[in-house]
Order: sequence, then C-alpha cells, then structure tokens
Amino acid sequence: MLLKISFESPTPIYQQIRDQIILAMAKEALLPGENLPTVRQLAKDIGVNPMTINKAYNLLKDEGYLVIDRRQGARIQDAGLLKNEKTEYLIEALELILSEAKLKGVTKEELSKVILRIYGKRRD
Amino acid sequence: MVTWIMWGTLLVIWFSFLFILSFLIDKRRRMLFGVTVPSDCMEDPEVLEFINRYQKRKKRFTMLGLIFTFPIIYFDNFAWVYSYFNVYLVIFFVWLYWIIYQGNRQMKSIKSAQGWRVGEKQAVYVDTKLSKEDKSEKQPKLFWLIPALFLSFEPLLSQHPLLQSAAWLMIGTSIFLCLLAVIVMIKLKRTSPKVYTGDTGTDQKINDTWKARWMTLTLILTYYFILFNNVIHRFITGSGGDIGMGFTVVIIMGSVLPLVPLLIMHRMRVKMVEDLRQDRELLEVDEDDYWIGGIIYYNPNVKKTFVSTRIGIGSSVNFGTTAGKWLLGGSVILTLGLILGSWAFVVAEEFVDPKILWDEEAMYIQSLAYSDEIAYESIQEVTTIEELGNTTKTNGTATADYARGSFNVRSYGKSRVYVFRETPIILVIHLEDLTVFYNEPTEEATLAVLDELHRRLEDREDRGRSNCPL
Repeated sequence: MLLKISFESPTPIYQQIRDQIILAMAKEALLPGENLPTVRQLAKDIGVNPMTINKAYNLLKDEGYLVIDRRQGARIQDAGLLKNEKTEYLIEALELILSEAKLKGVTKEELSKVILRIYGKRRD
Repeated sequence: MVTWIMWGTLLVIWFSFLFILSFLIDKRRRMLFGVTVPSDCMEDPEVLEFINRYQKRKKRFTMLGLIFTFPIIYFDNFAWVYSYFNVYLVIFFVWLYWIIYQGNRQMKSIKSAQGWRVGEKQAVYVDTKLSKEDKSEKQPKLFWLIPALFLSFEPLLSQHPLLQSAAWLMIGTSIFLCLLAVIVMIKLKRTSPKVYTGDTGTDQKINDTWKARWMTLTLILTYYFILFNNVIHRFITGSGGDIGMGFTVVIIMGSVLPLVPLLIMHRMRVKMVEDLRQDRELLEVDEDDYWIGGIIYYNPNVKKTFVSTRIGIGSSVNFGTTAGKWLLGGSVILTLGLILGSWAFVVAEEFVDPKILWDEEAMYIQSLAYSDEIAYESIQEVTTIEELGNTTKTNGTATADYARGSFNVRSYGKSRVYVFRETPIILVIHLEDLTVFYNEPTEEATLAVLDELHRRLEDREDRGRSNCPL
C-alpha cells in the first residue's frame, strides 16, 4: 500500500497512518495476515519519531485491526477475528456522519457510490 | 609560477560558478531557480520576461567573472596574490548567491500570483512493501575495497627515506578513504527506497538500479582518490617532478575530474525521471516552502538529514535537523576559518621577517610558523653560499621572494630554511643531522649576523680553554 503523509494537514500523523491503513484494508491493498514495516523502518522512511508510528500501531491494535507480535512485528488481523469485534460504536459514528452529509446536501446516489466502492471490492 | 597556478585556480572557480548557473533553468526537472513549476509555464509571458532578465544578469556575471581573474597575474607578491584570490572568491560567491536568491524569490512570487501548484504540498509518500524489503541480502561490493586497502600501502614501495616519512601520512589518508567508502556503502545499503510512481515493482527496480550504480561509483571514486593520494605523495616529496606542475595536476585531478562521473550520473537520473514522466504519472511533492533561496533546505518536520539538491548535483543538508545544523554550521565555520586563517597567516608571513635572538649558550631563529634553537656546541661549521639551488619543500612556504620552513636542499639533505631569495649571501649552519640556511633582507645585515655568530663561537671557545684544567 502507498501511505501519503501530509505535514500540512491538521490531522495528526499517527491518525493519518491509522486512517490510511484501515482504508487500505477495506480496499484489500493490505490483506489479512500481511506484515507491516517495523516501527523503526517506517519512522525512518516517513522521517518522523518512532513514537508516532508506535502510537498509530498501538491504536490499530487496540481497535483490533492489527496483531503485534514480538518476533514477527505488526501484521493485519485475520478477517474472521476482526468480524467478532463490537461494531455498535461504528454504527453510531456512521449515523452522525450520514446526518452531516444529508444536511450538507450529499445525495443518496453519491453515498451509494462510496459504499459500493468500499463494499464492492470485498468478496463477501 | 605560483601566480599562474592561482590564476588557473580562479579560472576553475569561475567555471564552477558557471556550472552552478547552468542548473538555474532546468526544463527537464521543471524547475526554475529551485522552484517547481508546471511544464507549460515556460510559455508564460511573465516567466519569459523573467528568464530574459536573468540571461542579462548571467552574461554580466560571466563577463566580469572572467575579466576579474586576470589582475591576479600582475601581482608579484604572494600575500597580494592570495588576498586578491580570497577577495575574488568572496565577492563572486556572494554575487552568485544573490542572483540565485533573488531569482528564487521572484519565481516564487510569480508562481504564487499565477496560482500554480505542482503535486501535493509538504507530503511524504511511503510504499509499505518497499519499506519491508530486506536490505541485507544484496550488494556484496564491500569486498572490492580489499584491493584498495593494498593499494593504500603503495607509497611505502619507494626506497627514499624522505618518501618513507611522508608515506605514512598518505597511507593514513588512503585508509581513511577506504573507511569512508565502507560507511557510504553501508549507508547506501540502508537508504530508504524512494517512491517514484506508486507502483511497487517499478519503484523497486529503479531503487535497486540506482543503489547499485551509486555503490559502483563510490568504489570507482575511492580507487581514484587513493591513486590521486599517491600522485600527491610523489609530487610533495619531489619524485613526481616540479612542485608547481604537481599543484596544477592536483587541482585538476582533485576538483574537475571527479565531477565528470557525478555529472554523468546526474544526467542519467534526470533522463530516467523524464522517461518515467512520459510513461506514467509521477508522484510529485511541492516542497518550495522548505527551500530558503532555493539552496538551503529547512524542514524541521522530517528527520532526514540529506535531501536531493535542487540547484546543482548531489545532496543538500536539512538545516531543520540537529545533525543538519551541526553539519552546515560546522562546514561554514570550518571554511571561513580556513580561508581567514590561511589568509591572515600568508599576509603576516609576508610582513613579519624572521629574527635572531642570542644568549650565552644558543641562538634562536624565530619566524611566524617555525623556530629553531641552535646550541653553539652543536654547530659543526658555518659557511656561506650565494643562492639556495634546487630544493624540495616538505613543510613550509616558498614564494618568489622567500623560502621558510623544512626543505630538502640538494647536496645538503634535510634542512631548515629562512631565506630571502634576493639577498646574494646565505649563511649555512651545519649541524649534526640538519642544515640551517639563514639570511637577512640585505647583504650587510646578513654579514653582521655572520660576524656576531663568529664572535659568540670564539667567545665560547675561549671560555672552554680557560675552564680546562692544567
């Protein structure tokens, strides 16, 4: 997957990494079981402090997207295990986002396109 | 001879200024004065006018730069030659920087007024697949440095004792070069891969190719500089021919020739990016705001110490990092220190003559950089000669007017010299393992020193006789 980190964005870097990894998983640019670069390597490649990457990886681990193994490093959680996680909070967050979208004039068709783009790529 | 060498050096500097100017309008990289611009901006009337103005400035700089190299030839005093050399260097360097800085500022304001934007602003692209690459498996090229280590010891093959003494310094330098190459190659091996297109396969191939090329170039340059080092050894010890000729060879070998492979590599890289641009879309980042005057990179957001330079070839230091601050600050202080220090030394050396102090047991010769204590009892003989003859400098200063320091004087061997070349008489003080050559700016003053020395030697002899038990 291609990570694009913007230093100008108001979104913190660890949040950008977390968001892009989730987007890549949904688009299957990152597959279950796939290893991610080590904290130090990614920090070096982006040019940030390793603590920033560590924070992003830990956040993803806490949310259930990553498994962090001392020997193998960080890898993407298996799809089956990920589905067992609680999702109520996501539905709540989605409701808020959809409400904002409705109020700001985003049409159903536009939303459908986004849903199809994300869900259409998944086999299930 | 020294004047002509300094003039040649000024010409080399003038050429290198023109070389830097040639990068200011880089249509292939779509960069004007270190500012990224869209490809179609070259037809913009405002840009065309800006380029026209720059061409006039460049012409003026080139012409005056060449004309002002010539006055150095008319100075016959080395201190003036060296002073002129430094003044030329400072004035034209500041002028060059001013051209680049002004051009960069103007181009940025044109870009901002036109609303041109190239690529994402202040972004970094990282391919996680490339990041995971195991960097330890490839490039066993470090082994090729083993013959270079053997070559480093080449100066020891010479049998002459003088060559042997200078050889160890050269060997140390060559071994240092080998170590430097090892560090560079390990660094290259660990360099983070660059994302050009976002396609992992293509980017992988480009990164591998360039890594291999830079490694090969490092090896070639290491061998080249070890040979260069050995050539310097031959010249400074006099076995390679005339020292003036040696200085010219050293300047050409040390500055112009190594630039050729770097330039070729740079052109190859530019061509590769150009080909890629035609084949597929490149991921571009607009980093103009991080480049101060198009030359100094300041980005405290990233930890990278080195970035590809925008004007010229090679890398620039990121002034935003602590290492970058030390590197840039250190090199500026070091360069200024070397220039000002050597300048002050040369001027002082020119105007402060060596002097002699006497006491009961010894005479002391003191100049700015060298001093000798000569005990009367160690003097074997004092003679005079009319001129110094053939000498080889081992550590000292030799101009048309004077020679001072450690020299190897033909038929005398290891010597210490404090000589004004115009004075027709030179005192030769023979010691056990050293010969000292000394004179004053005038013949009369030199003869006065000779009389004083004879008187003190006789006094000492008388004292020795009177102290002798009957």
